[in-house]
Amino acid sequence: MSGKPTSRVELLQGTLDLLILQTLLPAPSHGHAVAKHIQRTSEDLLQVETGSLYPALHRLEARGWIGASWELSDKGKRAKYYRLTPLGRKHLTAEQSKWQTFSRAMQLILNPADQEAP
Amino acid sequence: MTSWFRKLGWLLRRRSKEKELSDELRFHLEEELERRKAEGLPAEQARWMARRDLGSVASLREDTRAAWGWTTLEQFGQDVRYALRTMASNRPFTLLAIVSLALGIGATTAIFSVVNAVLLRPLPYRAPAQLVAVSSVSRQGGTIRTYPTVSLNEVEGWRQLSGSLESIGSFVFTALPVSIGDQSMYLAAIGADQELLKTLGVDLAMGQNFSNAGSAHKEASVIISHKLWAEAFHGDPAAIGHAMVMDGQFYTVTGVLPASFQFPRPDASYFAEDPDILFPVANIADNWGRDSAQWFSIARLKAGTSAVQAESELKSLTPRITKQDGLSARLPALDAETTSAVRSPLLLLLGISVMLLLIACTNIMNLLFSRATTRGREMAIRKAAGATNQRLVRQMLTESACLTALGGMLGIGLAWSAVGSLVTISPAHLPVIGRISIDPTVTGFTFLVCAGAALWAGLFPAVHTSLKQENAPGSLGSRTFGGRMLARFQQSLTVAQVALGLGLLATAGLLTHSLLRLSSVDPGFQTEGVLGFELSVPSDHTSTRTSQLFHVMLEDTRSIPGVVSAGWITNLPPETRQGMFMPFSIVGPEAQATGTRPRCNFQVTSEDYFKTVGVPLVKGRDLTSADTAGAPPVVIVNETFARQYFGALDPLGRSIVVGFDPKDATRQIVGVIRDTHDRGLGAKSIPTAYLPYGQFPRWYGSIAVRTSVAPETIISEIRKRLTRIDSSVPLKDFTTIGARIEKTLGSQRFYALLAGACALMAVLFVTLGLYGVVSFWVSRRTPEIGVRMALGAPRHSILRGVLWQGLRMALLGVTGGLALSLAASRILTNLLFEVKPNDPTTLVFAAGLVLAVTLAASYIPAWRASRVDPMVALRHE
Repeated sequence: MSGKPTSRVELLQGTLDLLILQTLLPAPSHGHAVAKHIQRTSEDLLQVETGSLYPALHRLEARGWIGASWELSDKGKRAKYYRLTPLGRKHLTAEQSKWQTFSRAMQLILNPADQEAP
Repeated sequence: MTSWFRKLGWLLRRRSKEKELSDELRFHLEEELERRKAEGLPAEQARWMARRDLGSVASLREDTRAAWGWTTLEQFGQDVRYALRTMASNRPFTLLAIVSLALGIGATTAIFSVVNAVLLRPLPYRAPAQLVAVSSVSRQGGTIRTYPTVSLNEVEGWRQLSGSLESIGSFVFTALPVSIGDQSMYLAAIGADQELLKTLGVDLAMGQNFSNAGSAHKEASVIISHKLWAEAFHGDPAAIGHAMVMDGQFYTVTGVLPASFQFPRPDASYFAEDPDILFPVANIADNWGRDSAQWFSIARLKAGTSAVQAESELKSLTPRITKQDGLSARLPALDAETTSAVRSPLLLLLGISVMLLLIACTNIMNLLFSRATTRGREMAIRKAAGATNQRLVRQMLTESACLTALGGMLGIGLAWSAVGSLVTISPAHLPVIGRISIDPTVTGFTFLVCAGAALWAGLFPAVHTSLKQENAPGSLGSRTFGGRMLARFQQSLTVAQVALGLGLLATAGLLTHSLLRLSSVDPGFQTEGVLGFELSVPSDHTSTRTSQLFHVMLEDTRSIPGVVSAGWITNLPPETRQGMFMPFSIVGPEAQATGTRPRCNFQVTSEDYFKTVGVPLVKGRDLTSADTAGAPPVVIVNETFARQYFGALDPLGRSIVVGFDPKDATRQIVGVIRDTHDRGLGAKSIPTAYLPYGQFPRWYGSIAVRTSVAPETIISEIRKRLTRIDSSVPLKDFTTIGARIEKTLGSQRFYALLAGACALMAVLFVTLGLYGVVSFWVSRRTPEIGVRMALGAPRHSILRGVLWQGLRMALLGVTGGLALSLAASRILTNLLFEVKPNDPTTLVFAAGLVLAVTLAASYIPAWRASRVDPMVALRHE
């Protein structure tokens, strides 16, 4: 794909679920679109492996955070569309704030300069 | 929860689920292809890149399926299917394994069902842990005796004075003539005081308890069993208030016992049948003697009081109650007392059956080891294909679990069908609570046993196989790994099995030997051609009337053609429990020597009785028809009596005073009879005195009849004649003396039979196991044998070599087994009669049998090895 694999980062354990839920927040989508959206939005920094995407989607479906239905894609093909369930939305909110706290904490420790600057 | 249901839903439509996943992935692939094409790649390259991007579809599908949440279940299903296929492909092994497991599990389950019903179920009373069986301890000149009975006076005294007993009830077993409407029967009955049911905490199904306080007053109330209520009153509630005639008296039914009620048998061997009637003990107390220690008693301790505290309190109270010295009470727990005689033999049997199962499982373990070796190639391939150790162990355990599950089901089936016959052969006096059955407790136990068996049989081979692979990754050959270590391990297992098998065989052999010894004891009385039966009259008959009636009946019996002689006796021999224990005193200088009045067993008998049962007189004379009420009072004693109370002196011509009133008539000893085993073949003779029935009339007794024809043929004639004399006198229990003796051997026979069956199966399994191990040894060495034969080794040396393999294990096992038997022999000491637990004959016989069968088992593979065609064997490599 983009010929510079070194610039990509590995997904942290457990973050894929959060990314999928976030991606599905605005509108239902199928697996391929979810992967591409994450890749595009992260400016190609995150590459979602198909091998982990589908197990993750099915796991989230099993937990009831996302629902699935077969619909026609914009190109007229049958595709499995995933959408966020109310339960998934609740979970997403909770995870988001957790993640933001975590990321702020990491920020503070890794860049002490930022703290002293203001 | 909803997520669980969703997963379950998915599991149910897994086919379409799989198809959906395929569709989804195909869509993904197409999208990716479009995208690549849109990026301007040529079609061929775009397709290739899209494929590459997708990665391994198989593992993707696998991982996705894992998200569906039933991988474990699915794998288990796979394992079970695989196990069943493996089992089906090796029928002889599977069949052997399942059958031996079924026998082992069946035996264990069946014996556990008895243990459960006798030892584990709580007594069916309120708070049974507080119940104690009151027994009396008497000290007679240095010897301490414990009787399971006490006197009514003691019970009443303790009831009034004791602070440690919540309540105390007394009762006595008897049998009574009963008429309800036009039905006449002879029923097992209990004379009980009002406190008994209260003490046990049993509520009547309907009606009420006797009303009298304590046991002092006569009352015409009767409580009937649920069974009698159903049979004689057809379950009609109007039975309450109904009248019935019992022992010649009118009684009113006041209560019905609950259907589940079981009467306590503090002395396990007393009455076999549950009584149908509970009547006020006061009605017979005076006749039977309130001061005589023949009443059973059960007490409930006050909460927080220990039996020891209560015992010492009763001991301190006793001198205030009875004038007899040296009396005190012992209060063993009712449940322990009920099962005291059967606890250790039952546990021994359970142990034996568990050992049997252990031997069967070890066989399977050994066979699985052998198979694991030949399956080395398969395991190596499976590992190479990515199976983890854990997965392999789980898969192989599934196989042994399938075997034990099938064996267990078959075993429960066997036990279930065997319970019926087990109940039939179980000794009449086994204190069973409820019914012997395969209830949930038993099933649960069997389930645990099966799980244990599956683990024991499967875990070692499974771990061995899965680990072995790592050490020898290149061993794709068919026979190499495992080698010597495994062979040695298998052989040690076999040696242990032989040892265990011999231990079981020796145990069963000792029990059987003891049974044979016991049954070959000369009882001292005639067992062939002597018939006996019991009879009784209502106790309101006067002594004279009773005497006359029984005399007429005895005379009439004697006149029946085929009757050689007949005699009267209170309790027919062998009588292991009942007896009439009364105090007596010796007239003359010996009386002062003993101080207290000793007690002994009394029998009431007639002329010709000793002749009828073939007991010889040692000295003096027999009773005659002249020893009537008006004649001088006489008594005959047995040798033990003479020895114990007169020592070297001649008892003839001496006198004793019998009964509770010392002013009773003085009786002269006119004869001494030979001691007999009338208290059971294994029991020593006890001091017994025989009173003429004309001078000491009782309302009940037995007639012994010596016949010149088959005893059974004469029963109807006796019934006909005696009924003609007085149809209200019930006759019961027509049995030959021989049959009575057989009955006393019931429990020993039960133990010997069960232990014997288990031991024979164990020896069979050991033989099969040894055969399997030797055969495996031969099959692994076939190429080597081929080489040796090609090099000119004679057939007989091959034969000898293999035989030695088997013999060595057998010899080591037999040595171990003998050591085991000697070490464990203490367990048996109390169960054996005149056979020592280290009895050399039995041990040598058992060891010889085990050696013989194991030698035969190794001869077959040895012979086969010696017939190996060297060319075939070498090509086999």
